[in-house]
Amino acid sequence: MQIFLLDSLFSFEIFSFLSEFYLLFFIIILLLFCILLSESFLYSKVNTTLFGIKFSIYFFIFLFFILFNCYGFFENFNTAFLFEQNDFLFLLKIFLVLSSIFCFFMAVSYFRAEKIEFYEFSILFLLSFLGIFCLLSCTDLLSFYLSIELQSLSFYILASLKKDSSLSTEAGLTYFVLGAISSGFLLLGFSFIFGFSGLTNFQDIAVFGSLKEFSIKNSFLFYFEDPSISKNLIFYNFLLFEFFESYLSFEKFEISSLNSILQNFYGFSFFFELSRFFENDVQILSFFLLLGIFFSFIAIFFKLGMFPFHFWIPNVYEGVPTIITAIFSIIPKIGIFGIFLKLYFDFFIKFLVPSNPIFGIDSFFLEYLLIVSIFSIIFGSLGALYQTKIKRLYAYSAISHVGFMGAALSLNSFNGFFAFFFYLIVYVLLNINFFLIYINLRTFNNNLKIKKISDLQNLTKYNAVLGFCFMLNLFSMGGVPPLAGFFSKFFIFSGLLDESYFFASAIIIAFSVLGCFYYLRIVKILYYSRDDKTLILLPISKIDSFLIIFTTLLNLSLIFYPKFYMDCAFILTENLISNYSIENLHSLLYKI
Amino acid sequence: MLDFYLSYLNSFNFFELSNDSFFDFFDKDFIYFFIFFCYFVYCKKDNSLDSNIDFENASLFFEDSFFSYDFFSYLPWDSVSHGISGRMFGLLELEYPEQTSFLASLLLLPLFFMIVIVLINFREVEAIKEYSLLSSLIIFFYSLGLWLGFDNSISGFQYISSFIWSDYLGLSFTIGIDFIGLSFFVLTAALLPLCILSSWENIFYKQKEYFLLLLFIEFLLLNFFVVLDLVFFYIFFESVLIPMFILIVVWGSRERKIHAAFQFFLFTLFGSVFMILGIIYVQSELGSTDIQLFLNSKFSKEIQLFLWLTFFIPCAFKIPMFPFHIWLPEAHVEAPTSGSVLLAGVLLKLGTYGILRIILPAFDYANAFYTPLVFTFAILGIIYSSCTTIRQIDLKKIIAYSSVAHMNFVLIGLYSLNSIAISGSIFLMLSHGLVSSGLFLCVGILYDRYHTRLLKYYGGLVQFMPIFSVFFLFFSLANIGFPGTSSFIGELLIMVGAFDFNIFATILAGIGMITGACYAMWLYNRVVFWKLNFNFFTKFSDLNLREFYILFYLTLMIIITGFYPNPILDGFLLYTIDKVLIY
Repeated sequence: MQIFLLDSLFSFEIFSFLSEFYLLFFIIILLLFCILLSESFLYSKVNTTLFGIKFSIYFFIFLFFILFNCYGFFENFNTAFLFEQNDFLFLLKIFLVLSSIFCFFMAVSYFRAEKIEFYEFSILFLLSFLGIFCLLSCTDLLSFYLSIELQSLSFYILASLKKDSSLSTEAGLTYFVLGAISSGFLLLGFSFIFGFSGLTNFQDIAVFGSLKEFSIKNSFLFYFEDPSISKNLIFYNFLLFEFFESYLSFEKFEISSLNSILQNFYGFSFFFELSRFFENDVQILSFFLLLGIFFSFIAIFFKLGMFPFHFWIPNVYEGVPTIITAIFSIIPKIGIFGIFLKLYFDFFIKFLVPSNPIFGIDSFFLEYLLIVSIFSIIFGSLGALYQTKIKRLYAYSAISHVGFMGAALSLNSFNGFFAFFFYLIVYVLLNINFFLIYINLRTFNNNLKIKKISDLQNLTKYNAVLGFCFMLNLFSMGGVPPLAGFFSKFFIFSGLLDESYFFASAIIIAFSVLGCFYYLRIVKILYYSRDDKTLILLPISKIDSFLIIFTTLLNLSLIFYPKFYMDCAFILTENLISNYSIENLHSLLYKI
Repeated sequence: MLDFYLSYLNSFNFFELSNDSFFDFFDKDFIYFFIFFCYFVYCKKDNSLDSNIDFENASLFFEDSFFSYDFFSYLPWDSVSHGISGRMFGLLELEYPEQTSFLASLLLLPLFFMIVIVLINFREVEAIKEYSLLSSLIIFFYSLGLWLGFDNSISGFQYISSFIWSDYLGLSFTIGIDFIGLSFFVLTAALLPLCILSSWENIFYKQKEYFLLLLFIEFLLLNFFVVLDLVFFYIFFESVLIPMFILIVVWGSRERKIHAAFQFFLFTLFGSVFMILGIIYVQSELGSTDIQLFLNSKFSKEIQLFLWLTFFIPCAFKIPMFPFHIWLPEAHVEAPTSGSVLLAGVLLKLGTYGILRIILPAFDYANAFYTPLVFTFAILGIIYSSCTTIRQIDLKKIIAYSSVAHMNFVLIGLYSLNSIAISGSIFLMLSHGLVSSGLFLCVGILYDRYHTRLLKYYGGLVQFMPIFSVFFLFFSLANIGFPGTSSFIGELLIMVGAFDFNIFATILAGIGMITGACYAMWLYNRVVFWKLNFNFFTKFSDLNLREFYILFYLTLMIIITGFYPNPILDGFLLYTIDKVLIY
């Protein structure tokens, strides 16, 4: 790998990563500038926080255009490098940049109202953004871990932004501890993968996992399905020989030796029981490979908020400052789902399907994903019923939305990915709308935020248009026609029923109707309440009101002009499939 | 005869409750014009025969107006020559370049009027009210024009236009109209001016939002009766929930409205999700959700049984059929007057229209299979709701439960599966739309004056509200099914058809109608003829001109269709023979 890195210094491939370098450069410049500004006599006259945010907005607009200039997408790029770039990642990055611009507009109004002096906000957010960019571009276990840690560490600090609030600090600490544990599981998984294959590049692991037959004997005969990989035969041959040399004799392979080593290492006979299922050495390798991959799911599901690892979301979303909640719910969803798609649906799907004959252990990855998604929907819908605070209710509904997206992904077909991207686009739009409205709700007297749902009562009496936009947003999240949220759910049901998942779709439909109930309760509170009390709110700034109306119109416009959203989702799936999963392309296209 | 009637009108002293000058336009000459126009529309001849009206020189609609540029064609009978040039209709792409879209432009009219009302300042209530009334009347007249251009001799959908909604999914927003859809379309367009007139002085806050909501509901309902694609059918089936929920929550009369609105929304939503399963199954089998394709295809027996359930349950929630009817009394009572009128007049028909359009023509085996189930629940519904109406004390609840009984009667007619019963049930649907609306408007008039709906406070109204009593009597008799009113024809035909099918069921349904007479007459007696209690009544005013007009036009339509139903009924008979019973 070192050879390739030196080579790249003297070639123009570096221009593929123009956006990442520009981002890094800007972070350094902004950091220096903010430090110097805060130490200067202008400190009292300039709000460094807002300055940093506004500067970043301009930066993001530049970044949007710079992304279009990232050329140099070589086809063999991802075989040897730590990072890559292609059309699919480019589109995801565009999507991220556009959502971030909205997040920064929210941040301007938030920090202006809260009067917090924290110029590191922009820096940290941009660092996490750099982390997500690198995460999307990664092709190696090492770069994956580094990028995800860069993103997570920045988020841990952002979560405890308010140093004088114990709620915020507790939420940040919770997030940090649990996130560190999940990163630990990630590393454990990666260590299994590396330990049992000796490879870190995803492409190499995919090739390794798709081996049809190998026997560890003198002859080292390998058989690959794709003959073009045979040129790497000698390379892999050599690694495996090195790896197994210490455990094996050249004449005969004995399974008990490996098992006894493992027993001594772990101190119990767990693997002895499992050894009944292992008939040959390949299955041990496959077992640990799969185990490593499943451990790495923990980190992914933790960050997204999928079922077994969603318990941190209500506490953390409630505790952190509202702008950070907005960022937590929009940016990582796109990034982590992007890497999830890339990794598990291209590189690892080759040996995560039960149809792979030599692995005696069936891998139920897709069914597992569907079950996890269904439980996310159930727990998200049930959990939101008893909430009295807006952010906690929102957190539970975020869990359920992520469940829907996971259910769309479990279909592993063109329609499934299309439904997923459509849902993601609509979900991000609704979140931006929700937070633009919610962040701007502040009481007139004390400039306080609104925390409880009952504080929203009679909002339409105070500001009819705001209540109307909020109502449309909530109904859309609930999935009521003719709004955008209904179509995203409809496509998911359509995909599920095409694959004959009848029971799953019945459960999902039932719980989405249940989910509609708590949105309906908020709408009723917006429009009518028994006592006539209504909170007087601060007026919303011009640009925020424009953005609220703009996103509401986007929400409403889907019934009249769906081509826009469908084309976006279609382009994303098309590029996903053409840049990855080339072997599956033929079967995917005919599975529509 | 007319002069005598008009002089009687002029001699009576109306208490003017409103000081508008708007109604000066609607003086006695306008009545002539309106009666003539309605008669003209009602008795029009087939287009294939030589008619005695010269269409080409009739200039009811402007030819050189603002709207007659390339995109729209506003002339219904000349729709071929004024075609659309260009491939786009707004943002949507037309599927066939030479098609016209009079229907689509008519459907967009409520949205245009809504945009204008949005621009009016919320303080100018008079302007908002007048403008919304004008817009609803324009829509009504255009829908009559649709009827004029309709060709009764052709079976099949007319005014078809198709817009590509998504080429990736193969979904196209196809709209077209046949006689059933046309009659419901005109009914909706006719009821909305009455709704707007009835809320002229009821609504004390947020008038602008109220009238916007009414126009939006009209838009959704008009769309519902013309779509020819299952996905859009479902979308408009369910979209009405949002504005109705807000209507009940904001402008309802008492605390229980929240409970009613939640019940209405969640019941109907829960029922509707079954339709998603059916639509997706149809899409996977046939490849598209076009209704015309769906009606011409055959499904196997087991699949028919499954699909029938998925399409019938949402309709059953809306009809409302017996176990799922409990939302109706709540929602009708707690809604404001115009909300009740729309609910009873049109929203109940969404379910039966779904049965007519989707279930009856497409599933032959399943209809015959499930008929006993439907009959059981419908008869249970009739008898139960009629019996429970007798002990109600709230005026609106009585009428709401009688709506349940009427709609279950319609259901019996639909599932007798012969053309007489089906055409009778469609006729009863239309007449129920008029009669129930009239009854709710009457109760609304009483509520405007006395702000109570409890029976114990009312009595002896005839002594100072004689005109109201006449109208109320008329609507009560129509509710019972008195000969001379349109509901008699509907009920008679249904009885005849159901008798053909099953004698015992008809007898039981007839018992329901007898109890209908019981509660309706008793209600009328208690409200109008009992003794007047001066403790509760301090305001004595008969109908003013606005209320008179509302009730008058409804009674006129009921009498005319009761004595001369041929133009409508023939169309229904033809429709049932052509479309529904073609197995």
